[in-house]
Amino acid sequence: MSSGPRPAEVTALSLRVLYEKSGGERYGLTLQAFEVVLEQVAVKYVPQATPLQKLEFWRDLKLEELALARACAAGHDPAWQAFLTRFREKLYDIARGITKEDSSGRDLADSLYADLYGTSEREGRRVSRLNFYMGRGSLEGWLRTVLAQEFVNRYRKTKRLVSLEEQAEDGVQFSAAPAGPSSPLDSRLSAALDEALGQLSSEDRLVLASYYLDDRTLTEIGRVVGVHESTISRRLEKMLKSLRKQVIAGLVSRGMNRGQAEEALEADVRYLQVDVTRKLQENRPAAFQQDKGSD
Amino acid sequence: MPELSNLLRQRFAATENGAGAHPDPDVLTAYTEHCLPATERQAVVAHLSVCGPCREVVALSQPQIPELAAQAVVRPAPASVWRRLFTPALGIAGAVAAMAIIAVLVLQLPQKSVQQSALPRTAETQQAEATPAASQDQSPAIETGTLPERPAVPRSTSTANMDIAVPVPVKKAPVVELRAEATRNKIAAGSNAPAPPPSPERTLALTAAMQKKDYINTNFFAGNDADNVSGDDQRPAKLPVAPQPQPSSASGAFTVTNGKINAFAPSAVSRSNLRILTPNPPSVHFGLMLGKMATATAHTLHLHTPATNPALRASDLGYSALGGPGMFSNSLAKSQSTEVSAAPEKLESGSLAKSDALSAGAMGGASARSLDSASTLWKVAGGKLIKSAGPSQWEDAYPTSGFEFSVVNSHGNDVWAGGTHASIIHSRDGGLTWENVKLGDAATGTIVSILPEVLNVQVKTSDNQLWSSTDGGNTWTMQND
Repeated sequence: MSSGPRPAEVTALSLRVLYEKSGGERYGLTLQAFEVVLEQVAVKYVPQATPLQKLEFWRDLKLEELALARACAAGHDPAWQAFLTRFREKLYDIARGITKEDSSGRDLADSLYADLYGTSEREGRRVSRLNFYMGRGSLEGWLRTVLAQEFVNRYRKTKRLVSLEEQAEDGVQFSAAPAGPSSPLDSRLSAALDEALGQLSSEDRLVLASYYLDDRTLTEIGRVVGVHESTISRRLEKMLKSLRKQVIAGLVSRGMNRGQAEEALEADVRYLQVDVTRKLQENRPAAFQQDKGSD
Repeated sequence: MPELSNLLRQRFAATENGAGAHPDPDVLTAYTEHCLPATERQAVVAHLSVCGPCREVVALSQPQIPELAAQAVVRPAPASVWRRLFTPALGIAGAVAAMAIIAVLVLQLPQKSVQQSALPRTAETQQAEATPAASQDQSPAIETGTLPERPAVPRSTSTANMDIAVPVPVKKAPVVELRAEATRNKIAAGSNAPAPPPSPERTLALTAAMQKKDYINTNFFAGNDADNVSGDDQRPAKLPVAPQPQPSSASGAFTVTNGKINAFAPSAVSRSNLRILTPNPPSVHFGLMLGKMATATAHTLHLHTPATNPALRASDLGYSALGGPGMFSNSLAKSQSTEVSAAPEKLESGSLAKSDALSAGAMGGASARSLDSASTLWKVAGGKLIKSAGPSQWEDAYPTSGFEFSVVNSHGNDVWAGGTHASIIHSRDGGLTWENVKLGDAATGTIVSILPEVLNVQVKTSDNQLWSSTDGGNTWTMQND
């Protein structure tokens, strides 16, 4: 009576199938190196998974691009040739698309290209950024995300160094006033609003934040969420109506009558800025006020 | 809700950056490409909802929209003023108005032509009546396609409003004599002898005038199922058939099928083979509309005729069909019954082409009734059988019934009507007399359809019984027994 293959044999057989599917051999990647890569990916994302669950997880990876990236990181020339052929121009196009400008886009792509090749060495070996690619998404998408991260990081770094003249050119006249102690009305309104926002789903909150905070267009939000822009429009309208009802109800539950709640909602926060500006005008010397009046 | 929008901005800004570890580029890529498991996707969404930089990265890492696709959403070019005018509703209204104008013109033109040719035709008729031998067959002159007097009539204002009874001017007498002589020559030479040709220039002008007239009337009657005049005769082989307009005379032969004129060829029409057909009203909506317009216009034209109606002769019937002053109406047919030769009581369009219906004598009262009943419209309203008694007038056609009518089907003078309790009545004379039809003891339900085809009649009841008769309704058998 013969027993079936053992789990270790099954796993080894499956790994070989995955290796052949990835085509790592033509990039100079050995089976052992490929198994190490797969194990590394599994440890990062499904550390508690059983061998069978790992196999299921590995099957969903972009195995061919994972093998290519890791072969590039290992310094195999065939892999680099294939990578340059497939992604060099795309890298520039993606960077130009992100920066909306050719020279800065080229600069961004070149900097990433250097990271991908590996300019630093650790233990005598180049450290390539491609070692961080795990194959969960496409290699092109990963490159796009990495470029976007690099661009955002650069922007955030340079933003701290923006001169006052540049800020003035950007229309920034006054720095934001430090947040003072909020009035009881503000606290009640904020609490009611936070409570209403807390009842939203994560996706609804993402839509609201993208629309009101990031000033994204409906099309952009739709692409991020994965629905049509008209759906986003309807959801926004519906959410605003629901939020208004909930905030008013929250204000009423906090001791306001309905009229006061409506009035509190209609107190546009922009009026606070106007008040600040008027306050500054009032505090100016009389000569400046006359100048302002004579203008 | 601008106030709420600003509050939202304020609160989102205050609660931002409260997220934990950022997802790595692999996870964000998988999220962007929608290949994350649901639980992991939910976690990423939760992070994105509170992390501005990651939202920025995700937004920037979206695949670029091709420029062509982005430009595909363009504003439609503004339509020109003229294009905006051509809306479907305006187009339909314009088409209806155009059809109305055409219909009026079509009916006005023949009237003028007939009025202009009324003088010589009257003279011709008088001459023909004066010579009984010639009046037996007036068609040879017509068969030649020459009505020499018609184009010869000048378009004078004095004769434009004359009716048929206007005396004949003396100057037209030679033309009439010429035609009568041609008729006599043909009779003497036999039926196949050709008539002497008219003068070339006169024939040319006449042909042009008649082509115009016949062409218009052929189209009009073929398209509207209006009253028709039919003559049974062989069609000359050389002449093409309808719908092509033919230079036929007013007394040319018409072949009628399904109540429409489908042939319009000159032939030897005599008073003995001239038949009158009044088909059923057209079923097509547009045809019905145009038919009503034609009827209304014809009625108006008829009112313009003198109080003493002109004599209705066989030679005039063609002009009547052409829409002239002698156009048929019920009153005209009745009042002129003594001058129209008798026709068989059963007047059906299907048998029209086969029978010699009319003799050279006057049409008797029966034919007048047939003419009357043939133009009668039948319908069932409120459980009663009613028939048309004039323009927009209806009268009860069978007031003594003990049941409610549900369906009526008229086929010439053959009128079938059925109703509740499987009751059927049948008239063979256009409603003058009725006979009760007994389907059978097993017949139940309400008659829902009667389909008479000469001797074969099929009746269906509301109980899904199908009765048929092959002898015109004398005996019946149930088909789905």
